[in-house]
Amino acid sequence: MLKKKRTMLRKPRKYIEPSFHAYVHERLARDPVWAWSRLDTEAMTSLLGLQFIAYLDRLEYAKYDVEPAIEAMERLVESIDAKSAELARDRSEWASVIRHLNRLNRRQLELMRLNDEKLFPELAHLALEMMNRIEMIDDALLHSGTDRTEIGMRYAEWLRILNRMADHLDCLALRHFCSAFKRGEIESLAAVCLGCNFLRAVAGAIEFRLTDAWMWDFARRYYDLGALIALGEQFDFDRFDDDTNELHPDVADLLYGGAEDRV
Amino acid sequence: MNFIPMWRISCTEVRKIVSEAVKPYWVWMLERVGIEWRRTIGLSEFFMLLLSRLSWEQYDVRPVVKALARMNDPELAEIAETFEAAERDGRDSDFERLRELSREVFQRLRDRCEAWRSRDAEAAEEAVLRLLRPLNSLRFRLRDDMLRRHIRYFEGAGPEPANLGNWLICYRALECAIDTVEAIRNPEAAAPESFTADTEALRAVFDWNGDAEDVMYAFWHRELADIMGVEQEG
Repeated sequence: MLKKKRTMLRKPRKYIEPSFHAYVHERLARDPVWAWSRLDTEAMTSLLGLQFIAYLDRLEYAKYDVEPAIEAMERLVESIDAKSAELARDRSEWASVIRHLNRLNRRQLELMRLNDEKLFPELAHLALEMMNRIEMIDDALLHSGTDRTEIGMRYAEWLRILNRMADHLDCLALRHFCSAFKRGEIESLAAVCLGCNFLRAVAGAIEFRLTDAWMWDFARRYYDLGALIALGEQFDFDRFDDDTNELHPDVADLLYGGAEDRV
Repeated sequence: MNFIPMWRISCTEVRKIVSEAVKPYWVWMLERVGIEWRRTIGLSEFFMLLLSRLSWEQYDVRPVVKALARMNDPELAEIAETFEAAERDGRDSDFERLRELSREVFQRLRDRCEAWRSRDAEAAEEAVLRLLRPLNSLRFRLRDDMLRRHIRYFEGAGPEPANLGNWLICYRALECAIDTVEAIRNPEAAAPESFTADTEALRAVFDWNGDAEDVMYAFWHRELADIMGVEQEG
């Protein structure tokens, strides 16, 4: 009887199924090729790109506002399209290369919006190649000799948004640490804590593919997608509410303790 | 490829600690990452690594190891002995043996308790409780330390929140281990949650203070200096 009861009560899952992040997680777990310590930097950035798109998907399910990041990618794609049209008008041989690569970027964004289970393999393939496309487009633009100021600004905007998201997750994790910990949401809290550095690593990887500069040591460690997406099936970021979650008394004291005296 | 910037070697504090320490089991395991094939490790294997990691942070894990030794089971006693020997002498052969043995800790514990319970339920209960008590006190200390650590961020002194996340993963593993022992003690208790870790992620998971790689590097540097017969600078 007890056994029967146990089987009837399904344990809550750590992530949403079916979903793109679950698909990527299962694929990476199955595929022994992705041993981080055996990858070169290019492959590391590719893997981070794939994990990033899966992570955005997970955050979206948890009611985190990922629109600014996706919109920044869309604006970047539009800028690249405008530039390739400009190059086509100037009869540059690079126009068709850039247009073709950017068409794949557009397709990736379209699939992210569609979120169709049948199209997950295609989206995973495109996401895995995203960093390569970023670099190839940048190289093609460089060789074409065109002005890259606007596209550079779009990249900077995208990176700024990723770093801002990381800072926001930092802030949420620390501010709501005590309440979430007391509620026993250990894995969710760990996932949020890990997400901060993961997003910085993704921004660092994009920067590396564009400039060859190691502004953030993205290669230093492997980000386990399983831990990143283990927010819990029922989890959403509405739980990290400043009005209902109490700060640890010492934290409240540190943040607001001296405020009255100062006033 | 794991690029370790050269400035890490100048972390004199870490080098000083390492110069007087025996290489612990968890550091040895981190060194295997990249040399051996990536694999998923279960709670049992992770648990012994966690004990080693906790010991490095000055948590007293001896009562847990002693309780394992006193389970009246030759294999569990061997696990406890090998753990103590590995942490005391830092020999590769002990580390290898410990890794091999540690894969079966909870299964062995379950089998032992079931056999024991049928003969002397009271003694079996007492033996499991002897293990549960220090595990619970470790959990409480870890919980308090984590809460204290998160306060330090607001004082501007904490390392990255990701380190706190790594700590939380280890705390979760400890909770799972306690639930597993509880389930062994009381077979009608709720089934414990499973816990697995990717060996590739271990370097991050055991990085609680942002210095795991410094520790690893300092041990590597010391071993290299020993091989070359060079005296290390203070």
